[in-house]
Amino acid sequence: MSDKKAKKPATVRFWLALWASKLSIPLLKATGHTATNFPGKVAMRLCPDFLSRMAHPELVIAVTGTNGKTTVANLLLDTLEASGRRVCGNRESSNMYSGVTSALLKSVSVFNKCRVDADVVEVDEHATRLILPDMAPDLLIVTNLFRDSLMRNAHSEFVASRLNKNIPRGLRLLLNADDLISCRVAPENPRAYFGIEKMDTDVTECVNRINDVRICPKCAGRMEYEYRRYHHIGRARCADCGFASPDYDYSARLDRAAGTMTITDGGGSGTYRLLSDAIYDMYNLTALVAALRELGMSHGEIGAALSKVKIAGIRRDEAQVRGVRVINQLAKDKNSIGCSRVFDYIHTQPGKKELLLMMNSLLDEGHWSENICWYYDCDYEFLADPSVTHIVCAGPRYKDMKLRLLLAGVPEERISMERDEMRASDLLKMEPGTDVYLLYGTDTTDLMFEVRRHLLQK
Amino acid sequence: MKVELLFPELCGLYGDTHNAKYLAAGIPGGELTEARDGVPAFVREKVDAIVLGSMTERNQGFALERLMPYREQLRDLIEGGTVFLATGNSMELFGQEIRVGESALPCLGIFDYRSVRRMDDRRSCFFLGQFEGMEIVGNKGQFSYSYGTEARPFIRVTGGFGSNPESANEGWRYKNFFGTYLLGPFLPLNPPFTRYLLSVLGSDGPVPFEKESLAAYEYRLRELKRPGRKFLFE
Repeated sequence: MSDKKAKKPATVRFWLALWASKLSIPLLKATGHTATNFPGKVAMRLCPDFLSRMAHPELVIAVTGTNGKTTVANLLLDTLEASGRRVCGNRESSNMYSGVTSALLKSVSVFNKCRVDADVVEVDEHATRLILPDMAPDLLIVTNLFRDSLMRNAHSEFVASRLNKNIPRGLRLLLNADDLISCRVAPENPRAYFGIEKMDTDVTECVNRINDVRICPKCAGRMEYEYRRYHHIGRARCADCGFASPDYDYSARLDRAAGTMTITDGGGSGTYRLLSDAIYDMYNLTALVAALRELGMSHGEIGAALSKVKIAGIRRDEAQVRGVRVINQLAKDKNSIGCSRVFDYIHTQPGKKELLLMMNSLLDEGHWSENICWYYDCDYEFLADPSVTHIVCAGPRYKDMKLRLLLAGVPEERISMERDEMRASDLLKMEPGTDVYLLYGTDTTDLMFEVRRHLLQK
Repeated sequence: MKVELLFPELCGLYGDTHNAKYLAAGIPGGELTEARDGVPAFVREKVDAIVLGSMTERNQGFALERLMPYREQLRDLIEGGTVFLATGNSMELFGQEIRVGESALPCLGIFDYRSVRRMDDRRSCFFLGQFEGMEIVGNKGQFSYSYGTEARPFIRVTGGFGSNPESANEGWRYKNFFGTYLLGPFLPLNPPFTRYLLSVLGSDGPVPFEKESLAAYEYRLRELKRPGRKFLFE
């Protein structure tokens, strides 16, 4: 392995920052703390542009976007590792500067010698301002851009404008051609596009509450969709000015019956087993394969590496108890699109479903209370489907959830509510043959595992 | 009775479109109507209420282009007592201009206030205020601020900030025009004000899902009045 030259020379401040932050890791462990973001904070305090003075490996990849960036970054780490490379990424720390720094400290020695072959980091869209110039990645993957936490992100056009400012000139981009918002970022930069060809489940009209490309971003004319997956994701053209989705460089074709996707590019094609039957995971897989092809791996090498990768179960997992399938599914709070995708997926699954909604932003409750405007951007209407037989609203926002469900057309007799999550789980009917979904957000992950344990032991 | 949801393709951020739906659902026989081919419904038929919501800064320009030909008609409707509810940055369209750095986007000029857009100065807050003895709750998130709204304020601020960071008043009220930077599901979050708006429209019935709406409203009021409660988002 060989080091990529750091962007800036190491200074006294840098060496102090490197040694102090590295020393903090065993100290934290010895005192029973987890070394997540703190070492990075130490490094930043002593040397604010630490990442630009740190040695990086020959290959540095950054992943950003509203949804899917964690999955794509983790899959990249797993696949590169399975192909024999030594890798480092921020799987266990945040996607902000301090979290990325904490993670990458492990990749260098106390003499700032790089010990890995590749860095793969997930980066918060706003954190790209400092991380991208300092890390100088070889490739930036933008999975998609949607509305997200409105307090922080306002709207997707604003986030796209931030990316336009933050993406360094010359950085190669891998973009989602089926997302007419993110595929237009940094138009001067070299780029490749991935996308998924027409599927039998596609529509042309939007059935979702949010569609942020209803009008042409160039002329405000009417956008006509050749096919649409969800929200604004699909292939579209302006009826007035001709502005249209770009062509795919990496084109995925779904074979639903076989449970595979064939991804074709200028250098050949490969067939890959789906991660799951959810559309968002099909995009995650397409982005992953396209990225690995960008790095020069053959379809054969990618397939071989992917066959060794086990998909982590934190975002979705299931267990059987007394004839009931208990499924824990991440539905990120404050992320209306993420939750809409999960609601859509659930309502299309066969059989009866019962839901425990506990995607409350608990961290917000400490000082404020969660801003629930996102509930009204989210497609709660999918849950009015008769196959969703019972919904329990739990956590601090349980009253807001119930009102939103009623406005979405869910009959009152199908809704229960209880503020305490454990007591709320006791309201689940758990009838044999039913799929019980525990929907949780990033702040309620630990709580979900407690509830799950409680249900499985009952 | 007809409620026009004005340009949802342009003014549909943050769940604001639910306000029109909630209002129409509260009126017996209430009907929701929309523009056709970019021409507002109030041009072709009588509407009793016009509701518009938050939009991107680019869409403010598109919305103004579409509304400018109907400026005098809008002025007449406001003077005639038609109910208007403009949430988020949509209230800026009815003022004089939106200043962006050295340039200015001319607005409908119906009211005297002026707005300033500062994309590097986003402020968000939780909100608590008073209107005619009612407590108003909600959320705000702004890149732009209005000045000159003190002459006819809509809501007196008790928690959060007003039309601009220095103002103790929020929004603009003239006859039955209610403009406010409060965004999102303003009416579902405020059943007392929704009831007031319904009464202006001649309906004395309950608001949709009144029991649940009031329960959530009272719960939120208690949260907003909690000692040590923070309003500004940092």
